[in-house]
Order: sequence, then structure tokens, then C-alpha cells
Amino acid sequence: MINQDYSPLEEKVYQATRLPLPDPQFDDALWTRIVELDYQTSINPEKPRKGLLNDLLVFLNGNQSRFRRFRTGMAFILALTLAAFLLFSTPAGRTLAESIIHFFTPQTSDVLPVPTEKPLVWAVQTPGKPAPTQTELPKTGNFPECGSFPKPLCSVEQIRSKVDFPIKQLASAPMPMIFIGATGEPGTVWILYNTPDRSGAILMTIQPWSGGSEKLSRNIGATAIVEPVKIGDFSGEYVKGAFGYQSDETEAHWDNDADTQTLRWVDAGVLYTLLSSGQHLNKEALISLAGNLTDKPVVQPNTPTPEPDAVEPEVYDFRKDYPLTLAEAEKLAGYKVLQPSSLPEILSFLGAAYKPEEKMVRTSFMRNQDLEQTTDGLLLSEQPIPVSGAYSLAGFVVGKNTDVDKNPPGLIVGDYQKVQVGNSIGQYVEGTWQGTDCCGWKWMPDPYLKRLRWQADGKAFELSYMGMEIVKEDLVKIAESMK
Amino acid sequence: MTETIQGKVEMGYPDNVEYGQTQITQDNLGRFREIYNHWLVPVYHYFYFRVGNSKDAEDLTSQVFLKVYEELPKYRENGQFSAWLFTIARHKVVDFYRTGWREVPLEAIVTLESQHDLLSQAVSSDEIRRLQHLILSLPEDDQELIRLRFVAELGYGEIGIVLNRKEDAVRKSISRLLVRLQNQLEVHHD
Repeated sequence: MINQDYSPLEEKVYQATRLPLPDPQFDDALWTRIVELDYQTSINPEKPRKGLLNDLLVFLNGNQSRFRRFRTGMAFILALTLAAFLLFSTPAGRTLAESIIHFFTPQTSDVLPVPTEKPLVWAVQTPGKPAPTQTELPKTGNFPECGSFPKPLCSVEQIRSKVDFPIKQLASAPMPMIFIGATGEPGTVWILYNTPDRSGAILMTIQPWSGGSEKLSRNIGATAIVEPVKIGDFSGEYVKGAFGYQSDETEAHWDNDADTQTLRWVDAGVLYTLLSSGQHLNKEALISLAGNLTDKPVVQPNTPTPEPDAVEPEVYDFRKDYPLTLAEAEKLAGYKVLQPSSLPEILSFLGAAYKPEEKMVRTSFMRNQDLEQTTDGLLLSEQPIPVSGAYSLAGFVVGKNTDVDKNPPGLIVGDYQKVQVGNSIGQYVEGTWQGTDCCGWKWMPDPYLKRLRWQADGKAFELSYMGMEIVKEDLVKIAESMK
Repeated sequence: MTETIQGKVEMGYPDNVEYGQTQITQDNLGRFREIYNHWLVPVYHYFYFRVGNSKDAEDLTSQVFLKVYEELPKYRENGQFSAWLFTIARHKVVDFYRTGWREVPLEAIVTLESQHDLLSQAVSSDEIRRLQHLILSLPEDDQELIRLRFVAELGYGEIGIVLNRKEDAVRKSISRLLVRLQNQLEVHHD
């Protein structure tokens, strides 16, 4: 049944996710089992209470402070995960990575500035052609056959053969963790384990150490508690907590309650850093794991092994959405399609599409340097302004949530700014309407979703960008470069 | 009334109100039957979308309801029942993959669906099929949001509890996800 507050798109998503009902025989059989269980319970009502559900029940039963900590901690884990992606995927992130992975030094405060993105590199564009140069992102490791995070591909044996220092690994991954893979570079090896539902992970960082102090330092908050611990015969240190930040924040905050634990020690000239995220391990379990590393081959019983007949999920080719060349789009539209003459190097022309009823041409510029598939990118829409009547790219109108469904998609906004675009006054918006459980549409400012509309020479334009790399000034610069 | 998932409203299950007033115990099998009837299909669909076949979905659904039945005496009513239920379901999925990883044959879900439900097949436009492909192309975390929101039909707050995320963060993630899907769909309309 479709939620009455669903937007048209949400209704489509709802329809697209319909599945067959369970077999009535299954329904009957399961209920019969429950009735049987009920009977048995009435005979022997005592049942053990155990594990995670017990913990879950603790906070469901009213331990709200613990619940809040739990959620706060997980929020930071999410932020940390985001940071982990950044740290392996962007130059700025790697700067942070250096500070996170290689240092263990209390700061003077619990706040760490999030490194600003490096300035965009702009490239002259040839209309309708992919960007002439693409700045290659450095890989996580120097062993390309071993992949990079978050999908390291090598076995531990493979990575051992590539470095000249001894590598120990977990003797067995703690349930429900599974070995994901290893990767690295000549001076560093990473081994990753996580849970199938990604609620927890262990990242081992292994580096040769010859006594220098730089690798033994690691940024932690001023209030972090460093605990000396024994890992087998070796002395090490343990810290709980993490710096975390949301994508739109400029400061990372240290949280001692974050479900991130870090254990570091040196074993035979090798520095080990064991980072655990999630709630699957406590301090003692982590130390126990660390004390049982092995330099022998380990059979990974939990390693995911796709079944032979498993069907790989189809990777959608977004070129299907923009199948036209620029020349084809112009021919269909009957007018010259303006294109940016300068774009940040992270973007590259993908293709064009034409919407005949509105004489609208859309041109897509996708980000093409991401380690994983993304739909983030720049979308340029343009259409001639009709002599009369409504049109899709008309100027934004600030309206109420009840106006949203009565107007063309994207027209009604919660707020906008006026900006100068060449000789025109344009409108800039950050945000979107979102459905709520209680109150219909609600305007949500969101710097991740940016749109710029302006008009020039009898045509209306919109540039929309999803992502954080490009800001308002960049969109204006792109707009002003249109030829 | 804060819950707007229509099915729940009609069934009288605004989680933390109804459940909050009534002690659900194994002594009240009739009451448990109501819970079972209401949540069987969402839980089954959640698993089906995740594992891609009815056999495993049935097995996991059975495990969840038997677990819920066992744990009910300890459940206190000041939480959200659906969030509790789907937290258990997520842990069952962890167990499922722990004991034998299977690559989720997501395409099979679409195929099976279109074969199974003729009505759905009839109304399923190219757009819907394309939307299915787009959804199945999403990263796992995004698919989980789709499963919880549109397959299990949980509210944002409930999803937040299940995923240990703030409700606003869940709402923001889903909104962004929908905008992405909308952008792709609009182009295909052309």
C-alpha cells in the first residue's frame, strides 16, 4: 500500500521494490511453529537471556543515556567511515590520513580543522568532448593488482610477497567479521576485515619501524585517554575514541565515546596499528586478538566466496541516459547548445539528451575519478524561453510545502540567493524538499545539492551539481564560461 | 498520530503508542498473532530483497519471528517495536552471511517479481524497470535505506534506530538518494 505522503518519485520507488507475497503454506507453517513454541514455553518458561539482544534491551528498557551514547558513537563511526573514504580517495583526505594513521599525539584541544579541499584545477573544454586531461588520483597503495580501499583485493600471502618486512595477521577473524583483503605499498600494508552488514570493521596497518618517532605519533583529542597495555610480551597503547565530522562541517570533534578503538605496538621492528570500529569487540577482545597474530598462512573460513551461479549486480551505464552527441542534440533542438568553455578537471563530458516537448537539452558531466561508481556530477539544462506560458527552467519561486506538487518539479524552493552571472541576475539554491513522516514536504537546506538558474539571449539555463567539491562561485564561473 | 505509513495507521500500529500501552507477552498469543500478521510481509520482503530468493527469505523470516517470540517477555514498551524487530532482522542477515556468503542475485529479484506479479508487470513501465536497475546499482548502504524505507516501510525515526543514525541524517540520505534517482529518471523520460 502506497504511503499517502509519498511523492510521485517515492511512489515509483515503492512500485519498483514490490516483491511477491510469502507462500501461504509458509505462513501457516511458521505460525504453527510459534504455537508449538508457545506450548513448550508454557511448560518451561525459563529461557536464557543473552548477548547483543540483551544489550539492545537495556537501552530499549529505558537506559536513555546509554542509548544516546550509542547513537552518538555510531554517528561518529559513520563520520569516521566517511573520513576513511576521503582519506583514501582525495588528496585532501590523504593529508588527513597522514595525520590519523601515522600519529598518536594528544592535541591541545578536541577539535581538529578538517583540511580544506585543494583548489580545483580548471581545464579548457572542447564542446561535446570528454575533458582533455584527467588528474589521476593516486592509488591507496602502490600495488595496483591489490586494489584499493574499500575493496582491497590481495590475500595476505600475496601482500607478503610484495614487501620486505614480516607481516602478521589475525589468527582468525572474530565473528561475524570476515577477511576482505589486503593492499599496500612498499612501506605499509593494510589488511581489512569487516562484517557483512558493515556495522563493524578491523583495519590493520603494518609498517616497518626502525626507531623513528614520526610513525609512533598519532593525532588524538586532548581528552583522549591513552592506556598502556600488554600485547603478549610487547608493550603497547590503547585509545578509545575518534575524530569525526559530517561532510558539511569544517571541524572534526574528538569523541571518547565513539566506537572506535586503536591499539598500537611494535613487534620485532614492525609497527602494528589495529583499528576497530563498531561494537563487536571490547578492549579486552581487541587486545586478545592482537596477542594472537600469526605469520603463518591462515585459512579464512569466513571469506566471502561468491557462489558459481551467483549473478553479479548489473552496473548501470549512465551513458544510456545521455545517448546523444552534442551535434545530435543540437540537430534535434534546432538551436546552438551552449557549453562551458572551462570546467574543473574532475568533470568530463558524458553525453546529451533532448526533451522535445520543452525543447530542452541536457548535458551531463560526470565525475570520473571516483574509486566507486557515483551519480554525482554536473548537469546543464537549457531551453528557449517560450513567448508565453510556463516552462521548466523558469526562475525559482519561494513557496510553501503545499505548493510543491502543484508546480513543475524543481520550481518551488524554500529559499534562494541572487547572484550575478555575467550581465544577468541568476538564482542560486542549495537544498531540496524532503518528505517527512508527520508533515508532508519540508525544505531541507543541503550544500550537497546545488542549482543555479539564469537567463541569457532568450534562453533559460540551469546548472545543478551534486557533491561537495564545487561551490557556488564555481558554478557561477562555469556559467560565465558558457559559449 | 505521527506515523504516516498508511498500512500501520489502518492496522492501528503507531508503534510506541499501542505497544506502549499493552504488555505483549507470550501469554497473549492472540496479541502476538496481530503482530505476526502485521509484520510478516514486511519482514519477508526485507529479506527477499536482501537475499534474492524465497527459500532463504522464508528461513530468515522464521528465525526472526521465533526470536521475537522468545525475547518478547524481556521487551519493554518504551522503544519502537518495528525498530527492534528490524534490528533483529539485520542481525539475522549477519548470521546468514557469516555461515555462507552468497552474492545477492539482485537481478533475480526483478526477474522473479515481473514473472510473479502479472499485474505489476502490466503496469510496470520502462521507467519502473529502469528505476529497479538504478536501485540495484546502488551501493549496499543505499540499498539498505531503500529496503527499510520502501520495502519494510519504516519511518525515518525507526530507520534511524535500526541503523544507529540520527533521524535527520537518515532523512537527508534518503532525500539525496531520491534526488539522484530523479535526475536519472527525468533524463530517461526525454
